[in-house]
Amino acid sequence: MPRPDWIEVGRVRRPHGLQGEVLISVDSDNPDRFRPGAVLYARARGVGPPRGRQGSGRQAVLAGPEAGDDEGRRVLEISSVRQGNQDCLLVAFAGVHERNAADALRGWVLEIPSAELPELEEGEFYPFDLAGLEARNPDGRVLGTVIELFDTPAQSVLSIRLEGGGEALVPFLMEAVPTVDVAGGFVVVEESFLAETS
Amino acid sequence: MTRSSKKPPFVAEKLMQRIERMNETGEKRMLKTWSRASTIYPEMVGHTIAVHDGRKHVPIYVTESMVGHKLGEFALTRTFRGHESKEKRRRR
Repeated sequence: MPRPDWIEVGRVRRPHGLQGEVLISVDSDNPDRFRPGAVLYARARGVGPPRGRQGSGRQAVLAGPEAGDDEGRRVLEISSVRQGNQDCLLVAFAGVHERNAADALRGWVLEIPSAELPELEEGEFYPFDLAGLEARNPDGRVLGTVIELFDTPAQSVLSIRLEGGGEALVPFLMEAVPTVDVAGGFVVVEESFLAETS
Repeated sequence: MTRSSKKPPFVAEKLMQRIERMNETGEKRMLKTWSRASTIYPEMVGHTIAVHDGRKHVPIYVTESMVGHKLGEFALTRTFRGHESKEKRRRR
């Protein structure tokens, strides 16, 4: 499955104060994503085509910081950032100077084009890159297709749609998933770790 | 009311028997359990236990830091996964 064109990095929760700041819940582990000068693309919730049929992210990048794109994205440049409560940040955007303008961003999704994602280190993966990969056993027999990678309090778990129907879960550990080859389009799964759910 | 201190922490007897049997033979295979209330004992470290979340069994690989917790703490019964395409890296 191809990588989605747009990657979510946060959501605007509500305005804060009278100077145009907004409270943002962060969905990114990149420390450089929210810093003054960074450019984000805001999309109203529920707007835009369904996943897998999204338009080109590069078009919006080339359109310049003041322009939107054909999916109604608004280009926002961060002017200041400070720590909010819990895991949230208080962010001010250039051109948003008062509360009403900040309130108009309430609920908007902040995204970046997937071309702007940083390079991964050895052994790191983005969950959306794993969806659609073929799951094989160590002998090369096809077991099924990876549906998704989700988190549990213990560790991440890989969900696999089995060839013969049904679904199975496997902990995303070196022992259980010894090989992940995103470019090759497959993962190797130790069958003894498969927990069939249906 | 807390559990009497003269009793050891609760664990389903059958589950513990299966773990001990596997430890004796050195076998490693997934165990399915519905006992979310069982306490994680040091004997369980290194095993993978599929804990029922009310709908399916979620495989949990037991590590040292989980000892003393209950199995149910690691298989949530209510999950909201939200948007999948987030900038969050995962490691094995």
